Amino acid sequence: MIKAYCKRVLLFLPFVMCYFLALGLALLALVMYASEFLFEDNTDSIVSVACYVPDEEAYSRLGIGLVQQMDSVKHTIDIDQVKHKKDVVRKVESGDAIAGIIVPDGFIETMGTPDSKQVQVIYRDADTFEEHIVNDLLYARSDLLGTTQCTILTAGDLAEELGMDPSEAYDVERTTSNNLFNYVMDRKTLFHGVNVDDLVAKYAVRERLTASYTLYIIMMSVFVISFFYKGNSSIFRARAKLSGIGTWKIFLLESLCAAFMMYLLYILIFVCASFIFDSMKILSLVTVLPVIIIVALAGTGLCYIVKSPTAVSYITFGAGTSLMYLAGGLIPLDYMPRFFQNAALFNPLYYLIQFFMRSMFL
Amino acid sequence: MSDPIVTIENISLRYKKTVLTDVSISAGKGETVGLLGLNGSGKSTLLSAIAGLRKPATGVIKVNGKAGFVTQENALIDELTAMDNLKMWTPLSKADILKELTETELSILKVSDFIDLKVKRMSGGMKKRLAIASVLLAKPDILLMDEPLAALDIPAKNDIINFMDSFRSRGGTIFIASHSEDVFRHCSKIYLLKKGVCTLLPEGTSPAEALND
Repeated sequence: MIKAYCKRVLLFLPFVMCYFLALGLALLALVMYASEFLFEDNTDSIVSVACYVPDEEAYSRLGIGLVQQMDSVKHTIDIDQVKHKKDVVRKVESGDAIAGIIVPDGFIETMGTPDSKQVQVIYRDADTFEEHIVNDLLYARSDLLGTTQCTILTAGDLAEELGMDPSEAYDVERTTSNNLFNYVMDRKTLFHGVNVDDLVAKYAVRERLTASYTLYIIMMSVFVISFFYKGNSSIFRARAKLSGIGTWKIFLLESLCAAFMMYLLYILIFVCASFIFDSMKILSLVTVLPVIIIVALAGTGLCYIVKSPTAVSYITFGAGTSLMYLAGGLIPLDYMPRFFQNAALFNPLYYLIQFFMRSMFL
Repeated sequence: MSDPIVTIENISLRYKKTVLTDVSISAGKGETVGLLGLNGSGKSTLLSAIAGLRKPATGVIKVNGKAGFVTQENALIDELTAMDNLKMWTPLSKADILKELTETELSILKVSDFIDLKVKRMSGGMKKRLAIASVLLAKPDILLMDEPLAALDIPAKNDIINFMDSFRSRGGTIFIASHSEDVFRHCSKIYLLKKGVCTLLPEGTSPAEALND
């Protein structure tokens, strides 16, 4: 019986592969389109960023003020200056700000020297697309500092106009002038990202959607394998029972075949995705197995409970797609109302996607 | 009559809208029992109960032997060949299966003629022959057949009826649900299932007349 089933899998495989290759390519195109849409430049949303600058960091304050006036920033980022470092973390944790910036004491004085201090950029891991904004912020902040330095170097009079001590302004100007080249080269190292939820690296939107769509394709394959089986036929099971083959044995054998097909499907997707993503992990060929086995068991079980392949299709496409949507698998949860974001925590697919995503890219 | 191999005593069955009440049937070795009734009268339900796949609400079913069930819907896998389908249901080797198909009463079914053909390329008659053969490989004592001649051509019908006679002649018991008068000519007794009641038709009664009454 096992031999017959294996032979059947091999006979059925070309059909499954062709079907899902077409579906996979269509979804991949959708992912590419979605990522283009998500990273569109002319977004009109304004995000809030909490910012702490020590009182003595007058030049940083000056820089913040200048950056706020930059066209690229003022329409996209609302910089909320706070008085204490802990307020930055609190605002990020509560969701009032999507990211926070903490400028350390003595930042300007040590900038470009071996003792240079890093600016902390604080964010959460709940919303991946916000990472993109944080990245933008890093560069904006970087530009801010550059602008500040240029201002200091070329406009000594500005310090006087701001009511600062001319000798102090001169000292800073000289120090920063000496280290300007080093600063430009190292400016990226001036920032240190801190994820308040998790220090694990986060995923970009495209990776998340790719993982979700891959899982979605695998889930949808349940619909196709329902035709592969007579397992949903009570007649087939009745005959098995009469022939002394236990229902459980057939169930496990069919689940194994389903998992095998899904796994080959994953390999196909993996190979295709490897051309696009450098971050694909070869180890995922092992780590996705638990997810595939879970889906195979659930899918085969569904084929047993539901009478016809048509009914399986209704459930797979209907319930499966809805749950996948609510788990943030098709559209990032960031774009959904807060209620849906909270409801996702009760959705098992949400955790399955998280696991699958980590398997593929982490 | 020989000792009954199947005894059904006062059983009641319910499946969807079909209700059978107080059904009592017995069959000995070498007997062919015909089940006659309109669509939905409970013939398939009764066969399922005899096969042990459905439990009666009341009453007792005693079966002294192994039952093989040839269902109305063939339990075959379309993508596989006849041989692969047969191998799913028996531990016998390919050579032993071929031997069974050519040197025993199964040769009447002529399955060896299309042993390497995929099910999806088979005619209805071939599928039915194969379905019966796959059940017979398990050497059942009792053969339960649900509409075995439905939508078959004349040669296929004749072969299956010949096989039934051969199976019965070596002591096998057959329960057969059908609409075909040809089948009932080969039955030792015929039960009519009508409005939930199962009655034994007197010898010589025409099945068509019994249904119309």
